[in-house]
Amino acid sequence: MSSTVLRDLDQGLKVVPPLSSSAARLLSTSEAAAEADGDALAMMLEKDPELAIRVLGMAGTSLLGLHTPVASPREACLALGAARLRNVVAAAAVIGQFPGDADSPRFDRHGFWEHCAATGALAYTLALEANEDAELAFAAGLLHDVGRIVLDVYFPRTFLAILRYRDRHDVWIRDAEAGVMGFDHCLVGERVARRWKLPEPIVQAIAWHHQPQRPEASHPVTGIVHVADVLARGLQVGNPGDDAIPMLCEQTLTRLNMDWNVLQRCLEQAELYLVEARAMIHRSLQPVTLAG
Amino acid sequence: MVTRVNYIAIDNVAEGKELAHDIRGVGGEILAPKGRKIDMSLIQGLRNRGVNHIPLQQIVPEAQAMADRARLEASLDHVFRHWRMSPAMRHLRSMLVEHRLSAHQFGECC
Repeated sequence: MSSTVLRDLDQGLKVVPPLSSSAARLLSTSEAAAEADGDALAMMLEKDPELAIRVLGMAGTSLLGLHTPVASPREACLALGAARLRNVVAAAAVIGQFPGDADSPRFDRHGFWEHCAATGALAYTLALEANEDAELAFAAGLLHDVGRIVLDVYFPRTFLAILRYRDRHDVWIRDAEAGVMGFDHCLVGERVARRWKLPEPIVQAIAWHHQPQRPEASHPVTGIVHVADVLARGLQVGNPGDDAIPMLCEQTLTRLNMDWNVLQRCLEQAELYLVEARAMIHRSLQPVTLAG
Repeated sequence: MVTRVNYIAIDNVAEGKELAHDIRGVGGEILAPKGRKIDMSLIQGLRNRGVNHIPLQQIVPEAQAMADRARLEASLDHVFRHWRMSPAMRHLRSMLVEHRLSAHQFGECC
């Protein structure tokens, strides 16, 4: 990708608002110090009641850290610790940026997030199998297609052209994006995720989940999200933006030490996580009501 | 008759049935093995671990199973339409058909 295109893209993406200052501080503090003080993190989180409510809603699920609901930001921060809190804050802050349940004549946003949650649940299961960080894999799966919702919400005319191109040529939506814009949602998502300073493995999964064989896709979670995305499309959960499935990269399966038997087992194991992820995303898409 | 796994909300599960699959915890550890008989202590223990649904075997009439298969095959034919020549994708498609026909039903009670 030429530097001119990237510069123009970054310029255009300035319409996408930054994350809340509390979310940005929490992400940078917990990255700088893995042993960051739980009380200090809780104080930051309490300053943003909307984010705190979203974080509490997500932290209470086993997919992002805790078995049981937590009652306060302090409890969540102390129970999770800095590293795990980053995944929850990243997921909660990003989903809070988008009108999940708002009507869009172009695109089923609710179905979109259901696909993302299913990808997260499958990534969680695959990561357990691969002995990787399952909570990080869930967060990366949940956010892997963020570039697509950015296009729908902030570039509606371009997105409409992409959908028309997809229908006219019967192509996978990523090919339609490339046909219309010259690049895809992965690049859009990566540029936004970097600006938001999301954790690097999540940025990498957003950027390379369709090209997991590339040298830039070095983190195992990127390959895991690739496989999870393909499986989620095969299970036809939610609406990823089209009714086609991308090619599964067998090289990535091998790199993850997985075969068809492992995939079969993961599909069985993922069933219960899929239910949990679906319930979580439905809760997360509700508008947050602040008391008083 | 064909068997299928049905995921039942834990609050509606009756005692005496057997688990159709292992139930695993967040770390992948087995909380309750396939075949374990369901009793109140198991339900309570699983509920405390955040498990909300229980996999139970369900018997489906042959005619309904055949109709479900035909519908699913047609639907996945469409989703996989760009990869008909790829052996790996054909294998994935078959795996998904068998998986979805055996374990994708979620019910309210048993």
